[in-house]
Amino acid sequence: MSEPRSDAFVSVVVPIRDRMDYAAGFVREVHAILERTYANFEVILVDDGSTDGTGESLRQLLKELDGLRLLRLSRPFGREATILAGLDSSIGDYIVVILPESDPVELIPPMVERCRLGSGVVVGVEENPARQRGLSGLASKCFHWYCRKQLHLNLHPGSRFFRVFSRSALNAVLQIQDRVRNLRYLSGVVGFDADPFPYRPHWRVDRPPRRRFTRALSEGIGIILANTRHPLRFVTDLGLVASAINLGYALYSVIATGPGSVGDRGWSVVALQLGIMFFVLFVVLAVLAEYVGLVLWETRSRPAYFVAREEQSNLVKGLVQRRNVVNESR
Amino acid sequence: MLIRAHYDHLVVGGGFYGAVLASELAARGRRVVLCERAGDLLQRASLNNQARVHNGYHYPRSLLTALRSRVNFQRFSDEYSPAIVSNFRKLYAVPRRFSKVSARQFLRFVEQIGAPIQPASRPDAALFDRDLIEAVFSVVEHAFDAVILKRLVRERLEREGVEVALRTEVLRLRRHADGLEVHYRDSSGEAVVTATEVLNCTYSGINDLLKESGLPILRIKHELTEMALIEPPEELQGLGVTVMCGPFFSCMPYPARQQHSLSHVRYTPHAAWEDSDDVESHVGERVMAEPKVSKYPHMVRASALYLPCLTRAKYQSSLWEVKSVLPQSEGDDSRPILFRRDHGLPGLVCVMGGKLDNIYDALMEYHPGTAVP
Repeated sequence: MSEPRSDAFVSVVVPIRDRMDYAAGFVREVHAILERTYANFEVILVDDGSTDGTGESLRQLLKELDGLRLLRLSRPFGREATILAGLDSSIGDYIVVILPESDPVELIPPMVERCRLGSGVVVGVEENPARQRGLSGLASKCFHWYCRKQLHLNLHPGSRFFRVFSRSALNAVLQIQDRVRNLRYLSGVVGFDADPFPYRPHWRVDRPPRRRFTRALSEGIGIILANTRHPLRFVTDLGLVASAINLGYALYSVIATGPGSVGDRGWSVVALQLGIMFFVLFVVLAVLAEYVGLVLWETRSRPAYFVAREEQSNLVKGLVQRRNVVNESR
Repeated sequence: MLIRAHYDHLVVGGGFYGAVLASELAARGRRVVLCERAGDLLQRASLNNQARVHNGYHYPRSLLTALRSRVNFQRFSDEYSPAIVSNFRKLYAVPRRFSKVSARQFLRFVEQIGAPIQPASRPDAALFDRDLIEAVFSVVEHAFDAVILKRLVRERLEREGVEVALRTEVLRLRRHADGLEVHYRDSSGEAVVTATEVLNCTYSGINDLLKESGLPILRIKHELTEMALIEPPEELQGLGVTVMCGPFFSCMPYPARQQHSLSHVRYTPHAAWEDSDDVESHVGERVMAEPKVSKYPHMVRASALYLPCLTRAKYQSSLWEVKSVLPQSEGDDSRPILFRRDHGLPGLVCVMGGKLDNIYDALMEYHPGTAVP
């Protein structure tokens, strides 16, 4: 306690949804460590439409701990939007994103310190992540290779939501108004040095959730589509090449259907040719459809989230213990 | 000691409301005494506020308050013209996110109440963060110099012959054959005087006097508030800025100190409480006496997101005050005055106003038909 508290203003964003059993305990831990370390801080609890009473337990905390703010979203909007809501309303010089289910609170000060020493973003990366095997491992490898080579983006396999932004890096991230948001990706895209910070997750749940392959695949596709036109160009080229080959084959079959020709091979060849052509055609259509969908999504200027209620703790000495005192302004 | 043994009107509280009401009554030939606990007039909420003369813009969610405020703006500006400061440009900005009104709604509302408004000049609008602010408007709003206002109020009290008793604390009231018996304390000790009518104009202390007198209390919500005084960056000299409507801020000239005030909807209120029969009285005084930690670091960061030049502001000091509102007006931002005759005792009037420029509503309430244009 004798060390002077840092003058950096730290905001901590905690996205929470249905974490009744350990949310309050986690917030207490975060608060304790911030109070020890920083003269000025805020903890922004973003309740992503919890239905299990988590919201009420968090409101109780506002009456106990100072420097807390609670944003309740009007319905569940998903983790990305929940974090975005917290980031949008944060005011600190350094902004920490931390997940209650997995991240160790004692790493907040060293990560903020690392961010202070120069990097715009410090990204928590899982130490020795479970090896992905088979198809999923291969897909993951391909994805990271593609991002590195083609998008010039180092995504750090195993990177998690746990991270610290400097104010200037966060402002840059918030300026990107994409509807399809992926924080792990956006942190890298703004061009600030993303500094990996290896750590071992501290699971507060019995069984750490496994990231499902379909989910990861869909996120990966989302990132690629939102940020490059490579697939579009690829299918254009593919379509052109396939139609050229098809044209050549048609020409060949006209020439070859002369007397004593290969024409007898008949149906199977036609079926094969049609099959290949339709496959190519639908690949082209699928990619086009993804892009059309993306354009539609981006052009709808709808907010990524709605805040139903904002409350904060307001404690003043000498008033707290008295009866009939409200600590939040409704 | 008070000069007489009986007064027609005894006004408790030497803030703006108490002083103006005392002058008005004395102007009608009554014998009036004004009792103030502190050593000077207008030392509390009449001094420790944004010094804004409202012109309606602030109340997009309460049309009535906005219209009344428009009427009072002109009258207040005329009557106290030496205290009015109008040599600054005033901007209202509407954020894209978290705001309860959109730029279009705000514009429509201002046109509805007939207040002047136009888009801000390009250099003025460029002061704001373009990603976060949807629109910036240039409007007409004034500030007042609380020190000059105090002088004007004091001169009028003298002119009307009001007896002003400073360092005189009214302790409690009792029923009496001639109206009310008033127990008070000053430098020479405790004493009693009678008055036909007592006006309780003690703002946040209004329930303290009621409670000490054994009378039913009023439903009032109090907040401990902090307003920062700053030396503004060069760009904000001669400029007042309000970002609304939601968890945003105001930064405008504070003429009494030749500085700017900075207040933030989220960080200016530090704590809130409501008076009730089972809480002791004088909570506000105790809260004011506690050591306080400024939230200026929060205010300036939250405001600078929208108005980046504020990072170069220099903090000077904070003004702390207990602000009181009626719980019914919290939802829509209307700030009606409270006016109650014969509250608990015949001849006891309770008056509580939210804004100085609403004084005319209080006067009209007191003398129906005479005080309002």
